[in-house]
Amino acid sequence: MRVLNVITVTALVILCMSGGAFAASGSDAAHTGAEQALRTYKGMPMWDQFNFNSADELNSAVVGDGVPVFAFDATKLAADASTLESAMNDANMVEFMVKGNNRDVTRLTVRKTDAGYVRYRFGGSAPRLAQGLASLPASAKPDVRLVLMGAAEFLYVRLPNQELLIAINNVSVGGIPNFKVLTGTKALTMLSELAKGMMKDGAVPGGGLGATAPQQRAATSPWAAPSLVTTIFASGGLYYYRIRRNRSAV
Amino acid sequence: MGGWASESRTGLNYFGVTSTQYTGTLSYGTIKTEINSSRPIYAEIAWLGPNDAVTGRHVQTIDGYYNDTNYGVTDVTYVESTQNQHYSEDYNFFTYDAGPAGRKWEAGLWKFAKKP
Repeated sequence: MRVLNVITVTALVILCMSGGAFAASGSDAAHTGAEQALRTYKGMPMWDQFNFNSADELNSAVVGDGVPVFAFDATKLAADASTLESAMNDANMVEFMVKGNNRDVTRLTVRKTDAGYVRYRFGGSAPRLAQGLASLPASAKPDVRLVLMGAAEFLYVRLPNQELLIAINNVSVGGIPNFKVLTGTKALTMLSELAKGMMKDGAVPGGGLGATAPQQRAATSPWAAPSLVTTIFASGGLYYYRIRRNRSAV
Repeated sequence: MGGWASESRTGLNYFGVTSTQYTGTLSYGTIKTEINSSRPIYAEIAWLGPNDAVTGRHVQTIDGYYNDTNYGVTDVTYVESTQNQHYSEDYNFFTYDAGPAGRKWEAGLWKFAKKP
């Protein structure tokens, strides 16, 4: 019986942690604003830059789940904030996943204004957002926040007894592993160091965050910095291909 | 101006690409002209916290634009290396957006050309 209980509890924990279909928050007004915003991008010729498989997939795309957007205050983090929540501010935006052919493709961000929710930004990785959401307890889904720190992205949730944070970046920022659920204390320590480095490097134009920690350390070397050399040359010929595909509808 | 722009300019020059440093921002018309000439734009931005305090700096590469007058869209498209993703964002927001999740375009490199 004890073995059975252990298996049952383990299965429940796995189920809770897996998240499944994560219907995160995003008010009706924000969702309506996002649907209107998405219309402006349908017909965009650079659909391939935004992870769509075809122009048709973009044209039939729909707005999925959304999460409210917050921003970490690096100053508070660097000053050793007591909790993660105390070091973030509401950005008055909601970021939605955009689905094409029933898969997570890209993202769309709307901003709350006096006139309602308006288009802010299109793009980003929906699969990484979905993966991050699925890594958090399903019971926490209404309270999940997307928290920005420069170009870095994190998902945050406050449970009754603890805070959880998960990095969802393409590269490890400040040595913080991606898609690993961190408790508030651990995350605070890492983010505090990150904020201190960010503010120190930020004193030099171009020397800021968004770069990974190794890239920041290498910034004194013109050959190792994540400069246009790496950005463009890593893209190779695709870069010019993209440039040719811009649209100017007059 | 110190930091990456000058270093990147040196690096690009080593690889046979010349460029020109600028401060401030470039107009939307200038961006379109550069992109239509197959030249990207290297944009240094400052991250803005509450009260527009600068909390860090970063570089993004503008490699396109999306200008649809039917919808009043004047977006720039850029590469964000931290996410390895493209974004399309309104030119005005790209140029300046107040904190706490704000940004300000401060300087960069443009007029890229291959050395003869």
